[in-house]
Amino acid sequence: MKTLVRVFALSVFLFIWQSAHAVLEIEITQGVEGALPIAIAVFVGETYTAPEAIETIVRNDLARSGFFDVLDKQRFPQVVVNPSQLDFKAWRDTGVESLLLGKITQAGGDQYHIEFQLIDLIRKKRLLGNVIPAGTKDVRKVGHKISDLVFESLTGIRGAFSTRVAYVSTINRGGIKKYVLQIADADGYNARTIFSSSKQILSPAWSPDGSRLAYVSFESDNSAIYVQDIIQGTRAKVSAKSGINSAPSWSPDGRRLALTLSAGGSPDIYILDLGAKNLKRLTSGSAIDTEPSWMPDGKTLLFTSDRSGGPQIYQVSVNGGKAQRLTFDGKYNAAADISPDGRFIALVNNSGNGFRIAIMDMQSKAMRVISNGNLDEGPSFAPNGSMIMYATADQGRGVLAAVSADGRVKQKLRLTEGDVREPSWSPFR
Amino acid sequence: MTKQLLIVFFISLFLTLSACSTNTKQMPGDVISDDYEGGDPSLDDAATSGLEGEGGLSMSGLDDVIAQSGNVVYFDYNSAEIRDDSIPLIMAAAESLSTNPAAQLRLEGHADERGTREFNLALGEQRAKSVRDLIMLQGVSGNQLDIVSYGEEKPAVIGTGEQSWQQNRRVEIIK
Repeated sequence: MKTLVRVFALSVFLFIWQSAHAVLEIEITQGVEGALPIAIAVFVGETYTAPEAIETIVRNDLARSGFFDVLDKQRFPQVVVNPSQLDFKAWRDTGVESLLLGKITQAGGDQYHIEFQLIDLIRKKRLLGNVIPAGTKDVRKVGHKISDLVFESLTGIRGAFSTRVAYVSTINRGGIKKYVLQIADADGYNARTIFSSSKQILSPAWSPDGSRLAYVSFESDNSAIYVQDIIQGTRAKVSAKSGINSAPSWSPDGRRLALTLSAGGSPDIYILDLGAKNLKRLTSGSAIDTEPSWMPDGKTLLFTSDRSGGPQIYQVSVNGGKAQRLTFDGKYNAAADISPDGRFIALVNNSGNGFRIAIMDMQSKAMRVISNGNLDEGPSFAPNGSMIMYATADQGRGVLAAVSADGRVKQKLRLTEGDVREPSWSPFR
Repeated sequence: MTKQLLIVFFISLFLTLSACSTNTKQMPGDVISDDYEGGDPSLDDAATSGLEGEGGLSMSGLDDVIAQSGNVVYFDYNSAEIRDDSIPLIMAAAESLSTNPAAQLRLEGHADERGTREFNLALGEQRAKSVRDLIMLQGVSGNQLDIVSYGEEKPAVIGTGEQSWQQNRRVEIIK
């Protein structure tokens, strides 16, 4: 009976899902090798009347991270209702080393208690045991929370499944093109529009506290930079000079924006103090300088410049002065995004095989290409540094893709409608 | 660069000569324009009304070039250098602006989809500025030229491949 209810709930969900527009979908495009083998058991107990089973959310989260090899449900040796009945050997024989068990109990009204345990099957030890109270609307939130805890417990790295991604999408409504700035959960669900315009939108960037987004809008015909409070929906125009106003990047303290302005002649890097509203110029010269990105220590910035011919990545002090060239592999290196620990940069590289996402080690300067499209762009690190989201073309359409930092796992997040690009991964909440 | 300037000079010469020899209707306009630039105050009123006619004729010179070969200056990949094949159009634009100082042109810079959006936004502006600089080199005031870049955000043609890309690497001269 419970299974029937579940099947019914799932079909309702699939129906709603297929009829809904603008839903992102996940597709694992490359297998996993050498990842941690884990089993996510079916959560037992009351039927949680949510559109999706919690264990499915956790399974998808962990599988797409690239850190886990999640055991297929068909290979489960037993249904575990109570941890005391656990057949350790039978589970170990399937090759898994850890097991997530869950139980759902009703707590009155639409309130539930979601109980879960993470078991180390080798050492026969409980690694996690927790109860999360939740309403039916919270199912995705709870799923991501459990994924975060499991991820951290087994890898030592903070999970980033409860984070979000901002991106720009174009949609066609009755022949009219609309540009929308959207925020979705990091797995592509719950997409909400926070700004919509008949003119182009570019380069969304999260403030370090995740409360605001800076972006470029062409709504007044020329490019201008806006900062929008994503909860209140209020926004301020922070730069609208003649020429280009573009490429905003927040300082780690959230008080300043690095940006590109061309009012001084050619596109150069400036720092705008959002409180004092003053501008400091960091670069000059006739070449293109753009795409500033702040190092986590706040002392230097990386940017793209074609001062040596083609675009390459340079580093400059927040006080200005001489910039140092960082990239030498390939004729096109641009749009550097810095990992949260400052050890790696993700960038757009072209070494003759198309525009691809590469990761460069800041110490050794060794570069490794981790995507395989022809027109990949806009890399953005997850706040825990484990994955990189980027924009790619799929059969002529713009889609978002994510790749694990080691390049092993790739997935696509596909909108059922429109062209998606310019992803920006949020900080931790 | 020297070669380019030389070409510019010859084309200017060619445009001037062809204007004189083939379009006799422009002759009176030219004269009035010269008088005005000479600064004869007694002719101010006449010159002002005459300029409107002159402006119309001169802009129609640009219109002719646009009607024949379009209003678009094309560029090579990742380059903001003016190609020789664009010089007649740019010269016609310069000619129309210098003979009609009240006229304005808008230069919209664009890039193809390859490379990053922000770099392409900057590249589109560099292209528009290359066109502006060459027009200003002919003695036109910068105030007559308005520049905007859309980078790769407003492609003329949707599609992947050099044929589409070439049509998207452009500056549109808009009246």
